[in-house]
Amino acid sequence: MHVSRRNLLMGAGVAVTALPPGKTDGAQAPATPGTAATTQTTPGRVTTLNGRSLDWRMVDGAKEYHLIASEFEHEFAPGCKARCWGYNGSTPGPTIEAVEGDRVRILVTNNLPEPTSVHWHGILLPNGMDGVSGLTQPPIGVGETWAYEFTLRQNGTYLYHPHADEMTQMAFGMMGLFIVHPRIQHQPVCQRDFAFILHNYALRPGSYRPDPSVMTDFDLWTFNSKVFPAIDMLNVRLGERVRIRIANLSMFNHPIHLHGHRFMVTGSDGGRWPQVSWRPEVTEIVGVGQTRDLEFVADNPGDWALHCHMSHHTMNAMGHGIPNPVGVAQAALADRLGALLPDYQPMGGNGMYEHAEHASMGHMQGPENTLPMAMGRGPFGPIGMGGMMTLLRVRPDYRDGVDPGWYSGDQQPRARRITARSEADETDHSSHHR
Amino acid sequence: MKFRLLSVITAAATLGVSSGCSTVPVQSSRQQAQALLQRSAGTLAQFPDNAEAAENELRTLLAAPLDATAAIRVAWLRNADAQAACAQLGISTADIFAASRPANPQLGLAWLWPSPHGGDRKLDGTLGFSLDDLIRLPSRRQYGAVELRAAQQQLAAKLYALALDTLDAWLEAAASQQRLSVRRAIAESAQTAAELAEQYRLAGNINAVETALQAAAGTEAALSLSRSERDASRSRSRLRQILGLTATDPALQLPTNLPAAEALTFEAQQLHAEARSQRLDLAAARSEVESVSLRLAATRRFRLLGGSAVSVLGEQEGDSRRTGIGAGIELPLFSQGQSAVARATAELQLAEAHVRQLEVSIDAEVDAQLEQLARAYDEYRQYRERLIPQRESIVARLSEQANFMLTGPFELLLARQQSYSAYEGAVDALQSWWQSRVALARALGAPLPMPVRGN
Repeated sequence: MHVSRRNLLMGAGVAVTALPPGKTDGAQAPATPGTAATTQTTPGRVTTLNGRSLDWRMVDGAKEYHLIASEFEHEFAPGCKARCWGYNGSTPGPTIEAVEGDRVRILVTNNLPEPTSVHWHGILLPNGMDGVSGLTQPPIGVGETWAYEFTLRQNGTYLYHPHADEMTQMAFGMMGLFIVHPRIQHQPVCQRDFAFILHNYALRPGSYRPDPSVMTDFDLWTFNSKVFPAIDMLNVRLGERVRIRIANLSMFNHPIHLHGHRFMVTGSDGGRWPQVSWRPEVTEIVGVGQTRDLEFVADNPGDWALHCHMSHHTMNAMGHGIPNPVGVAQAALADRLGALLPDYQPMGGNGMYEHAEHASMGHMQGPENTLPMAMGRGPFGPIGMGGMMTLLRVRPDYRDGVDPGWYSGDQQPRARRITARSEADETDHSSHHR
Repeated sequence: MKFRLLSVITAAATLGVSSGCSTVPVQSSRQQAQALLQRSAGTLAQFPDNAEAAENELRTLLAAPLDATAAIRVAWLRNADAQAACAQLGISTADIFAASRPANPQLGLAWLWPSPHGGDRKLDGTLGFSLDDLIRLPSRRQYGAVELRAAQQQLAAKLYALALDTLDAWLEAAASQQRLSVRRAIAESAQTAAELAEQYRLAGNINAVETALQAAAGTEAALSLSRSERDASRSRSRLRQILGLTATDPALQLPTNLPAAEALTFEAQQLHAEARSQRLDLAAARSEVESVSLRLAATRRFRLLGGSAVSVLGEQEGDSRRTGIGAGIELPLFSQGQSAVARATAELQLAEAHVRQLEVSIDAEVDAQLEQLARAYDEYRQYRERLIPQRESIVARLSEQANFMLTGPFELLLARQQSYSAYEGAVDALQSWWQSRVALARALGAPLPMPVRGN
């Protein structure tokens, strides 16, 4: 896959228009990758990164939603697509939003080639509505539509996902957020409420369908089934209170780290925590099958990384077990390698930065349908990341729907060069004790 | 007396001249053999007029990369077997020429001196002719002409076979050289991998086993290259030998690539018929049957005619002179020529058996080579259209993977070696195709397949 510089210049002024509360169209295609979640959240509504909320209508005293499970083509980032499974044409499926006390009826149509079911992860409901195929209900057969109906007796950040052939169906992307808002808004009120699910895909380089048999060796680590730099950025105005809801349906725990801010962990899939239980963090591990709500005041302007702190989760596919090239003097053999393998670019002798630089400039020919392991380019050069990574962009003058661009930070101090390369080269670092 | 004796000799000489006194037609016989060869080899079978022109041509041919056509020319000009076959035709022509001439008359002279007791000097002269020889002469000339044709056909067949042998040797040498270049590339790839492994080892990134595995693979590839060099050297020597080159002749230059194969469609029945009409050795065997038949017929016709002769006699004794004639005939009392007839009959059966044997082997060989040719072409096509592109595609895709750090350089270099091996397989298949093509031409006696361009 050839990744051009243009593909990697993210956030190029494309904005997602706010969806009216309760009026979203569940059949719409997912938002364009590489855009930014730029609209201020209406209290009682969440902004699903690269996604949307599911529309509903009142029928017989219940909010009725309709999820349609099917296969479709999904794009993880420009240059990488796969045949995934999901709901209403997207992975994750549209976010279900409701209010504590609501009676909800969720119709589920199965357009998959095999039976399915839907489990409402963390929701307190009658046993027969729990959606465990074979245990609490027969499976939803191919082509059938089933109804789940229950009253919401809690609020918080929850999930929905299949409980029939989970290994396959979740590996293909079947999942969604289920947000239950409180009857009375939590205080202090958040002006921005973002939500995303952590997941992983074994999409082997050059292939077009995730491999459900993989347990640990994944290729793509995603926020809402997107990888950096195609993940929506979190744009906020300086001083706004921000909530970030994170759910984890992947096979690993993920330490999610936010730069430049200290946040409070205010809730989980157990619901909102009492304030005395809140704790300040800059990194919060979101365990497998868990959700976490993080809240903070965006009081530090700039472009701030928000990412999983496992470094292999902030990159795309890399061969595991390949000979390590760092420190290898390949230059002596470069001509011979070039004669034998004209399309091969030996790299990595000094580390992987060179690779990231070439990838960010689109200078390298990689496999079809495959993203470079490190990509993205910022105002100061290659960012060299992928996977579970996006940006929190805090601006004093941020206006909804307008791309704030890269942070200039003219009035802020910035790290500076002290010595030029030539001077540094003359310094004898070898005499330093370490 | 002198006058009369002289007149007898003169009469004999006159008879000789009148019966066609001439030189033995070796040159024209060879030209006729060459004309036969041209039916299979075209203008390639035109030879220089003299030895100097032949040497000049040889020098020119050996100065450039030797293509198949040039190789055949060199073999025809230099190969000792070819020269021996030409000489053999000269011997056959001389023998047949001799057999087609009447035997020379016998002149006998005798002087008797008077004895001390008296008597006159006596002088006897006899001029004798073999009547038997004269009677058989037309038959001998008839089957002699057929035998001469057979000898010319045999020479043409030998030169044609030499051309095909040369093609075989040239193909082997050219293919060996091409295989050698592939093996050299494989060895370079394996050696590069081994040296790269050393660098990885020096950087502390791989262990001794991984380093040794690459080193051993490099050594194995080098050994394989050495074997290929031996093969190439051996096949080159064999080609020099068949070309008739000596140590003082220049080194051979061969084209870098074998000529391309082409899809050929044949109808087996038609080829069998063509082979029977084209094969020079079959034509020679049939000529042999014809000549032996004529000889048998003559043997039967003159079976009772033994040695018979007529002679003119002259005698002078003193003053008395007398002339007269004499005749002698073999009486068929104890042998009536049965053994000669039986021998000639057996010779005919032998010649006919030889023809049948050739016909059977021609049919079998044509069928076998058609099968070989078709299979070799199919293999060659599979290498060219499937395996080589597949292997090249693997290298290209693995290069992309290596660029994205998804695979390592050693796997990539191994894939490169496998792609080179596919080229080696294609060379083998192409050589097999050409060898079958040559073998089919040999079976058919067809015009020479002339590969001239590299592939």
